Amino acid sequence: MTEQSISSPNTMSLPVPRLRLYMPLLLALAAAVLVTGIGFHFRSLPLDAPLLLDSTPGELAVWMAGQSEEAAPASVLGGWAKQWALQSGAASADVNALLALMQTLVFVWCSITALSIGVGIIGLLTNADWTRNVLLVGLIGTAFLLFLMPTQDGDTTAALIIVAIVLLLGVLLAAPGRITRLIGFMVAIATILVAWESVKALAASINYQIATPQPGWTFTAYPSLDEALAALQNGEIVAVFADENDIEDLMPAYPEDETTAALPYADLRYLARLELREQSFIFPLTPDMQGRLTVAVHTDVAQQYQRPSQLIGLPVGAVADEFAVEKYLSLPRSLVLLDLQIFNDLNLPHLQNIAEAFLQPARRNGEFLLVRILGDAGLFTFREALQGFVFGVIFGLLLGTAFAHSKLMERALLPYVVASQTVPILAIAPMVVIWLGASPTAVAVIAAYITFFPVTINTLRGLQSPPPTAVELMESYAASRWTTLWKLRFPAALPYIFTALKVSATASVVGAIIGELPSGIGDGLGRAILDFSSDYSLTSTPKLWAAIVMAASVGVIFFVAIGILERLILRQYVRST
Amino acid sequence: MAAEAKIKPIVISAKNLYKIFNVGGSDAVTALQNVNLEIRAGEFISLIGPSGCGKSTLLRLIADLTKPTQGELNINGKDPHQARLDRDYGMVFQAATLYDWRTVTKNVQLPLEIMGYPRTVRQHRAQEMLDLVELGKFANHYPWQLSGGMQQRVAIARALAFEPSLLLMDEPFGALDEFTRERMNMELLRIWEKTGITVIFVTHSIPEAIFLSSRVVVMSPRPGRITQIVENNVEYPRMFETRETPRFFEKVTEVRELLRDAHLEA
Repeated sequence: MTEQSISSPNTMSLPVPRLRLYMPLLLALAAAVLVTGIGFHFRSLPLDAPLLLDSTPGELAVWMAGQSEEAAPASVLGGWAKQWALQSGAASADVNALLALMQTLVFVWCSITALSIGVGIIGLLTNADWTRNVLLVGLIGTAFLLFLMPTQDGDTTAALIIVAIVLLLGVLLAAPGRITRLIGFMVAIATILVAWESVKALAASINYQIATPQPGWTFTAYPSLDEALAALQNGEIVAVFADENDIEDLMPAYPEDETTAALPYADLRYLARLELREQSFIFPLTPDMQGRLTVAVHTDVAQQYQRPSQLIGLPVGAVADEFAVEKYLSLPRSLVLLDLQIFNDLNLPHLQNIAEAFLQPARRNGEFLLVRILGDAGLFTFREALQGFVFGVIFGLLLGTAFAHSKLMERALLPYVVASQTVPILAIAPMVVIWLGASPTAVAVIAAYITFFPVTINTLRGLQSPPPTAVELMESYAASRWTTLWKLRFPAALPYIFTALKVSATASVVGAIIGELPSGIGDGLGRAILDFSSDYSLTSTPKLWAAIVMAASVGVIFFVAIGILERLILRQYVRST
Repeated sequence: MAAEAKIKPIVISAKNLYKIFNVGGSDAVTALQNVNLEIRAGEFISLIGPSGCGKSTLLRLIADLTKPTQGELNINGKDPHQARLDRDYGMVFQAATLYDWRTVTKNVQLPLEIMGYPRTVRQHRAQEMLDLVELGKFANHYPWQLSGGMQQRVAIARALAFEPSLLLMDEPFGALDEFTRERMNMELLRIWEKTGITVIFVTHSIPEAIFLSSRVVVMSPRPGRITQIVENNVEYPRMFETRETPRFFEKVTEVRELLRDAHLEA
């Protein structure tokens, strides 16, 4: 603002619109009030409130309390809880005490966030240069709340957090101060988070009207699952739609067909391999559905029904209130205008669900949280990627140098180097595994296969980058080819090479993950992604997203590490900017 | 000094020197035709002429950056290739051609590194040369932190660092503004007087050639050849005021007329 008034003195005489002056202040004030309010609200919740129990810290507290009941908890957090309990003279940690502790922590977090927004308001008033930085702290603090608070029907907490983020984004754009790279990055992230949750809210509000089933169902609603299954046994209906979680303990699955006498409905089968598209095609997957849709049929006819659409026209049943099926089944399919199923909770979980997935045991009652398991997997994959990166970079540097020195080699081999990259890595990967055996080395070679290409090309370009006079200078000193390479061409190529290294760093992680699939290596992220995507349900989709986030983090960390190395080594190359 | 130069040994001799690009092709260009030139030790020779007169080509032939098509060329009694291998000359280009990743002192040390001088000698010599071009304080700066004129002075220090007997300069001040250029001319003259080195200097500027050189080689284009060699008797020491003396104007006019005649002929 000061710059403007200096460069064009005319604007100084113009009256400043009051709204423009006060608007950021009001927005910041509203955001601060919202965040403070959320903090107080969360602290004042009763210990059995769903908002607390379903929140990320709440879930964590419950798990920690459970872990502290073990004699020697294996995980770090479990160990803390145990120690904390022992100090106060108890054998295991009290859930309520842990929950209260979490409430306090969240309250403190909200307070600090609100405080930094408050300081930002002072910055706005005094037009200080640091205002943006302080507001950024407030934005990060508020955005983080999205990962803590669950989205629940009839609860506005999550919505209020979104409102606060939007307000802060507005203030941040209007505030004085330099826009740093970090601010740009955080503004982009916050915008994505807001868009993520908004589009989900929009889809959820529309979803009730659009995800209707095929027409032609002959449908009966039963008050309970048992009554529906009894009707199926009697032959009144040919199939029952239900949640797989509810039904899997009642009857054997088809086609696995492990006949267990202990199951109450031994003469019925549920179809275990229903295609996903078909599931969401029949019923709307509202937030109420905690699991996967399945179909129960008689054992004798199970073979006939592999798709729900085969049941059209036949009498079927479901539990009346379970999915509010009556409502949907009575609606004609022609009402469907828009299919927003990619935004439903099965396909795009709430941010809090992803955060929660990180802080929950990977398996029921597991002793390690998913974050630990994914962290280990990430580290394992990173090691493979790093190994492949090193192979690829060395190979690329040698090849690029050879090409730069021999026109013959460049003409003869460069086309093959280019062609190698048009072969899908997925096709090459199994071959490499067959040749080298299913080992991390094979994975590293696969990672190297996509890593060497950018390094080769950029090394070649970089070595050829010095202007003719720079080369003639070397000739005038009667320098050997080797000296020219070492003292001129290679230093001149370094910026090019580092550009390639940054591309290769991320590519090597992708290569390692792809390489893990055919080699059946179970310790890395590839297997985790495969596992969580094969078991596609409301409980495992957030885990899949967590694995995706972890995979992305490994790539980003690698990229940033190379970036830091580049800054250190190329410091003297950087012209004043 | 010009008189003294006569009795000194011949450093460069060119006899019937030809340079034809694309020999035998339909697009063959005669860059130099029948060049005969003798340069003695300690002379300051300017090669002047319009674009395409082959002055840069002649310099590059001496530097062995390109080979003559025909004729004889000797540097210190050797053929140019051997002279280059013996590091008989230092070269300064129109662009400073400093390496961005090296500090000023490291740039000056570059030829010394290649020639295998020990570190202490390199550092000492580089400092000496930087002091000579009055950039001693900038030893640890990077090239991009210096102005164009300063960069070119570093390039001169680098060319002199290994104490060659011959300094080849290809329009070294062509990209500088008038004031910087005149200052650099003074500086170069001072260095030449101090070191007694033989300089061959390619330029477009008549006053620059007259101010600097002991002899001016006037060249004309299509085909590139030597029109005349002008003895420059403008007296030493040459200062800023020298440019305002009648003798200076006389010489400038003489060279200008020679160039104009050559141009009209072509």
